[in-house]
Amino acid sequence: MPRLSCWLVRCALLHLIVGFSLGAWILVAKARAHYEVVGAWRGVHAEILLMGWLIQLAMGVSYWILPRDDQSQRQRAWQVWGALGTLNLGVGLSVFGMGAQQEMALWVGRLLELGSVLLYATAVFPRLRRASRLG
Amino acid sequence: MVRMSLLYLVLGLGLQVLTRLPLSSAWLLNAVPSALHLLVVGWATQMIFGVAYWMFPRLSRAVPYGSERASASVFWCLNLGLVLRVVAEPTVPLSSAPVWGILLVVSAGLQWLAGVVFVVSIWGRIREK
Repeated sequence: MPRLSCWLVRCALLHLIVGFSLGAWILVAKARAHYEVVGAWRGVHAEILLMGWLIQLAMGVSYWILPRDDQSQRQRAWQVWGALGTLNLGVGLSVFGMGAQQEMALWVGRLLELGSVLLYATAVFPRLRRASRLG
Repeated sequence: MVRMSLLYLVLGLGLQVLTRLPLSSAWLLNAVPSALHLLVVGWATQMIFGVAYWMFPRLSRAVPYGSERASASVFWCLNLGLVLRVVAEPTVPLSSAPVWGILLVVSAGLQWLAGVVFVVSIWGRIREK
């Protein structure tokens, strides 16, 4: 597994623990009929598990298993490192924005998440084109 | 895990359909979050856990997939927790019996434990080759 994939997968697993912990806390609140807790934290729970866990894991595993193109991979590794940083910063800011009801932080977080996905997609796209040419 | 995740895909989509019926009962209307979690936890997350145990770099020749006891406990905690959730979550708002709340808390604990044990058991297999 490339070093970049290791980092993406490890970060995804940390988000899984945080997201599952929050989900368990929300369920306990539901069991005690504290529905205001459920409403307040549901968005944060979904953000962490969708962006931090699922999408980050998919990025890490696909960077590892997609057809290799050594030259392109070396040239574009910085983009994927950038995607790793901006995704985690974006999730952190989005979660802060939702928790503290700071609209600006939420917007910047979402923009960083979008930037991260664009960086990642443009980095791995040449590997797909080369693979389809080879048949 | 992969077989169970396919079963949850069918169950989750089936429950989604039932909750959308015009004559749905109060229990079914309360089951909307459970139906969603059958899909995202039972189907997507469990499929990921199963595929990760299979395809992540092997730990060693002697124990290629790591502790079998750990992966079995992930399987049982996740599935038991999810089934308890589907039974208890829609019932809690409709019943004053404390047993449903207790079952929901147990379900939360089991699912959380499954996630933590999965991360601990797979962490050593994430390494450069």
